Amino acid sequence: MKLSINWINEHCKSKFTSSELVEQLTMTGVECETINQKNDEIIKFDITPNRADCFSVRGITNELLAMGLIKQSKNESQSAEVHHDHSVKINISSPKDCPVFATRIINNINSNAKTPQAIKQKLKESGYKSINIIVDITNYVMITIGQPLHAYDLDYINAPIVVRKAKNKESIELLDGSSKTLNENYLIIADQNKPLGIAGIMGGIDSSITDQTKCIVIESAYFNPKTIMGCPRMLNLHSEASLRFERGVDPTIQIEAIDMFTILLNKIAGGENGPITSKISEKHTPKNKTINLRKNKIKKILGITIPNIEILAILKNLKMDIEENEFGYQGWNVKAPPYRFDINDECDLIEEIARIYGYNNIKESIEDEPIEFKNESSRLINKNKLYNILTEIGYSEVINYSFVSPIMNDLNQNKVGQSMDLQNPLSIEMSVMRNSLLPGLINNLMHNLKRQHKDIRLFEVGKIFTGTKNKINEDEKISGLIYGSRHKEQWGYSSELVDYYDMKGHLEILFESLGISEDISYKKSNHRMLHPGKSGQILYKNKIIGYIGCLSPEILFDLNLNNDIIVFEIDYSILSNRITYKYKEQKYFPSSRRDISILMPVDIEINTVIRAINTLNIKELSDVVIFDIYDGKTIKPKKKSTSLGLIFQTKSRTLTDEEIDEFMININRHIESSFEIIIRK
Amino acid sequence: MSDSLSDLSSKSIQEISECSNLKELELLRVKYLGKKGAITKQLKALGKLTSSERPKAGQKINILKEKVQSLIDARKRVLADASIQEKIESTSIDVTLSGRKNNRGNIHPISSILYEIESIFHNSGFRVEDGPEIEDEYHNFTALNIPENHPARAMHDTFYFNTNYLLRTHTSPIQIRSMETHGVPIKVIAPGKVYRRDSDITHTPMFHQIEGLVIDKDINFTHLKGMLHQFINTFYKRDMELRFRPSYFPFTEPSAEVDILSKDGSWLEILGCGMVHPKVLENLKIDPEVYTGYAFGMGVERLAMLRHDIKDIRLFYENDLHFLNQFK
Repeated sequence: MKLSINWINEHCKSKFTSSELVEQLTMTGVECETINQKNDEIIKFDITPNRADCFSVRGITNELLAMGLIKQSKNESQSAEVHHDHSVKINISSPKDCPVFATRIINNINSNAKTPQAIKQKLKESGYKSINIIVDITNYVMITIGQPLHAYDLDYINAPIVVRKAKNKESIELLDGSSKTLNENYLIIADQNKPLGIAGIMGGIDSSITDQTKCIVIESAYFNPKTIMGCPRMLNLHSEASLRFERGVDPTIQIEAIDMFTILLNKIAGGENGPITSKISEKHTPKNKTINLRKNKIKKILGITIPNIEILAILKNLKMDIEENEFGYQGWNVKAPPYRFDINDECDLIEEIARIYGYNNIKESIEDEPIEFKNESSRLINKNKLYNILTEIGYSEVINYSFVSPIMNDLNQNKVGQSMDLQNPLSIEMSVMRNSLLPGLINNLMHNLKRQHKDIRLFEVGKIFTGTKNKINEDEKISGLIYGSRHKEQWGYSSELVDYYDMKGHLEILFESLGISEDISYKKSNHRMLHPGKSGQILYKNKIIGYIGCLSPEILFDLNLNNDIIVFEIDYSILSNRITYKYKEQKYFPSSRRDISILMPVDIEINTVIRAINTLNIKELSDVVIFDIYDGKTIKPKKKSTSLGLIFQTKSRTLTDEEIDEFMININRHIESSFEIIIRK
Repeated sequence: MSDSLSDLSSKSIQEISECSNLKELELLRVKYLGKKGAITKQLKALGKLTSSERPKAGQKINILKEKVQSLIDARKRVLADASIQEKIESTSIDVTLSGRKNNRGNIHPISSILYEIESIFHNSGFRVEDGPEIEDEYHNFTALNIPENHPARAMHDTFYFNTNYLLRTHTSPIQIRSMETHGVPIKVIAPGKVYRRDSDITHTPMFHQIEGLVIDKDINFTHLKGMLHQFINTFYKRDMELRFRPSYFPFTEPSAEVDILSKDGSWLEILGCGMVHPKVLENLKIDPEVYTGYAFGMGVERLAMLRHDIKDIRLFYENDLHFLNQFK
């Protein structure tokens, strides 16, 4: 809502500057700001949903009264003359939805009359276009006192007027040119032939006011906010009227509004007035209940003692009815004015007192509670470690949207179950919940390659979503991607591309720092997104926690990339592992190393050979390192040469050459007999 | 005898002074002072002399021996200095050349701020809680005193899966879930992703919030003010001036927005807060006559934009390395 400062000043007979008013209103909870339009200062209001009463000049004036900034406002209501006794018959089929409905027929209006400049100017400053004298005055009244009015061209109405629920698939063409199909959820105003308008939202085009209109029916109603709520959203049709009806208008001002409209209209465009006919259901008209406001509760919530005299002054300025309970010793019985729909409970009154008293006049204090020391959670410690390690190795963290395009989810077939589809996505590219973090990382890679970044390492921590409408799984994952050169381009390093083993090394560092490397193993996998010969499952205590590998050649082909993209995705829950390191005593005795070279078929995994060596259970064998792998020209086809360094050490003494020779004989004999391999001496 | 000694003296002096490298010098040392060296031989020959001749001759030879030794030592120092100098000259490098290194990665600015705020609260006794991102109507709205069709729901443009499930529009449902799980008294902080159907320069359909909740028997508005002021001072690492403005959230009453006074003198809104609404407590079967509490929530993107002077919120989710690399 926008209002000019002049309109407000005129209404409350004051001379506020807009900055004064903005400051005061903002600090009592009516958010607003000054926008300058040429010579006039306009205030733009951002009214919170609870404050329906603020949607008018009168409402804002009431706030100024409450703050004690003005003493009284322009509030005289007059009745218009009645010239004839024509009226339109009204049937309310559902008084619960429409407790107050008032109309008046006005004949012989001068359709050539023009809206006076003063009104036009105010409407313009509030953002309303001048349409014609009748519509302009309905808007003027609405902005002034908050009651939306609707005028119908009497010649296009086949009385009686009925207020009823729409029939299923009943349709209406509206003032804004749109056409809506309705159902029993909507309340409508209709005549004997057709709907005339959607109650509280917008009128129909058929009975709308034109430049030729001479006779009108003016409608002033109070609709039950619950009836209107949600309808504008369902119809995607928000109007100035619906904004007010949905939140609630004052149920006591319908007659006043019609009179105000009539008097203004008569003054400018003449017309002969009929009587006001109204249907009022007392039973369904909301009445504010009396609330017991306790002094000690004010203290309990606000933490300060406000003197009775101040509390009473605040409540009186808010136009509350007050009745003392034992002279205010216990508190008061309070009833809010009819336009304050938001005041139903004691806590609502306490908030009113606090906001008028001023939040900034309430002191600050600190709860007195015993000192409590909190250790950093192992999750926080591990998260810190993880982030530090990954960023040190060169990975940058990204955050992607949790929704992706269905095509991206299809890339990852390994997840069983149906995808979680949004009913109302912003676009098809953001319509399903991701079932893997990898497609997002691939998108980030492609974006950054386009921006001429070369060596790219990314990671993301976030949830993936799988399941059905009844059972939803949210799992937190950590995922990474590397692409490009192993070292950034520089003197001293030749350019080499990253491969599977770079990423595997990164994960090994990670697992080691989390203290779980001994429980981690790898197995070949057949993940759809990955190269079948260059990928593996990652297992922790023999349970699959994720996978690592090069993206499949098909995906690389689709992305039009030649170099390998290596990725991993693992469960973030491994971070909750708590590690306590125990010191292990280690006396030093020199170790001895023996190197062997093995000629073996390419399809034997080196790890199986090492595992075979380990099955011999030689306690003195403390480590095995793979220091060379060669499958070049000088080797027979489909063979590779692997060089192993075997390190022997004990904790109690230095081993003799003879002992080690014996171990080596055992080892050589064992692996030569277990595999199709030759040990090259 | 003394003639040959003086020959030996002049010859050795000459040879040592002319010697040009350490290897030759060592050979000269052996030649004169070694086990079979010329001077050593002379010393051994002393035994052939008579006892009266011996002391004088011995003294002469020893003087020569010491002289040769000190000449060799001096020469050695000169030659060593020269060779070190030569080594330094031949092995010098261009010290201005860039060092060998690889790129370091960076933590996303949103993550950094989340971590920072989480730590501040964690250190003052708040438990960190998490909740589902796909929420149900009850936890996201109804339990928070936002009934169906209430205009407050329109403030949250919601993504729906069906009539019951939606993407949480705020982290406030974690309040409800924490109270369901842990009961009261409670002191929790809940960071996380939230979703609203909105996209422009100041809105992304996904963003981050941090929610806090404290409920106990004697909690009031002055505590809310005191705690938030301390938090804001800690986060900004200086004493900040704040103002509390009345506002509206269905799940708190009184409700407030908190503004900080920026260095240019304008007020900037940074968080929303209030006393937990008695209806929220009643929904959880907690007696609002006994327990009271406060809740607060803030948008992490907004804090990051203010801190780093970022004008377009969408940059956070473009994940361009030019952007990410600026937050070391």
